[in-house]
Amino acid sequence: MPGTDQFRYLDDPAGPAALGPEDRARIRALGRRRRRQRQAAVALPVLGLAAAGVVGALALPGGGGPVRLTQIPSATSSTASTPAPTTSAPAPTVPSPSVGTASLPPPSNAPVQSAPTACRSSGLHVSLGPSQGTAGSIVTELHFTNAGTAPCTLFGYPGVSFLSAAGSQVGAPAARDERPAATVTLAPGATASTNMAVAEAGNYPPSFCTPQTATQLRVFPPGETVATTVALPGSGVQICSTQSQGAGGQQTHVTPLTPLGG
Amino acid sequence: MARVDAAFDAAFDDLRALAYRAAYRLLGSAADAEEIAGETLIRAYAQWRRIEGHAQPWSVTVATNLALDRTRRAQVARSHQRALVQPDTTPDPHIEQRLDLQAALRSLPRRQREVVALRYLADWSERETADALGLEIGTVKSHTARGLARLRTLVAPEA
Repeated sequence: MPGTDQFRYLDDPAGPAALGPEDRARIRALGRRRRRQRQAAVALPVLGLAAAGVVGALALPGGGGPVRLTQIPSATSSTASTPAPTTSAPAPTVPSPSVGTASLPPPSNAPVQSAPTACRSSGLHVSLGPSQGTAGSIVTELHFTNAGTAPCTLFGYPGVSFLSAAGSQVGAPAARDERPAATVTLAPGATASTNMAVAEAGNYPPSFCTPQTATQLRVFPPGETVATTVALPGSGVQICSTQSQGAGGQQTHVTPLTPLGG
Repeated sequence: MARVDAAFDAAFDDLRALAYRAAYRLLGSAADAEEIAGETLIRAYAQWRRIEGHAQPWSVTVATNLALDRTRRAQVARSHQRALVQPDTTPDPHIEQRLDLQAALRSLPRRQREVVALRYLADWSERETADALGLEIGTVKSHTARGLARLRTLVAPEA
């Protein structure tokens, strides 16, 4: 009987990678957003940008700014050295052309020439940027470089979680540090940055935290379902693998993506 | 919403496996297949109420079209820009068969493509395919035969 099973030899012997509850939640969240965008797109396409709950009219910090660490219980000050924001741009309802290294398409109904599309995981190079260690917590930059040949856009937050050397997730995924976000357009070779703040396990009393070594990060670019893993320097970071609920909140935070140095 | 979530969750692994397999058979890349399976699931959840009764064939069809679309874009990108593409580390031993399968599917009209995708990418029987698409089994047979003729001229399956 030709047909069925004829092309079984083309299958991936390994099959798809296992997905955790975090990945499922992520797919649902993206589906929900897609549904809203579709509904909004019928009425007013610009509203799609507001779907992520972004509020306008606040200054945008640049790539070098520190992350707010108010929810992390720490005996030491978490604000440490605070370099001034390198850029500030008004965040109107329509993304300003100045936020990216390539200009955005005209907003009118003038003929649009190949507007940049969202960056895909496969076209991005993710790497760790400089980090500042403050006592008990680490603030590090995470860089997203357009490795493709065409401009692409990033909007919002990456999904970040820690992995053990064996590849299993350690602790909860990073929470979003609520701030205004803007679309970042990346020319080929250009980089966007997010700040990630991590409270190290040593901050927490043993009753609250079971430390586990994380040696790599799993990073989902905004809106993507394919993750990239990034090795952590040295012997890794001690992360609370379990946390009692309501006793200090989230251990890791990320900020929205902004253009690096721009 | 809770009912939709429960139904989607129950179907999740099955739909993901179907989408992954269809995309992998066409593209031979785990990364691409993962991405397409993820995108298929996002779309499925976004319009779950509309597709719930036929989520399986819908997922195979969407993944197939996403995979074909990706190869088209990749070909265009390659023809414009060769220098910056990194060579693959491990060559795909079945790349010829995959390209032929892509070409055959792309040459078919929509309905025939759905039938052939379910039969040859999801390995469904004629009966299952007919039930899933709401077609007479005779129609599935004739679509399959025509699709198969196209495949035969292109694809030389391995033993």
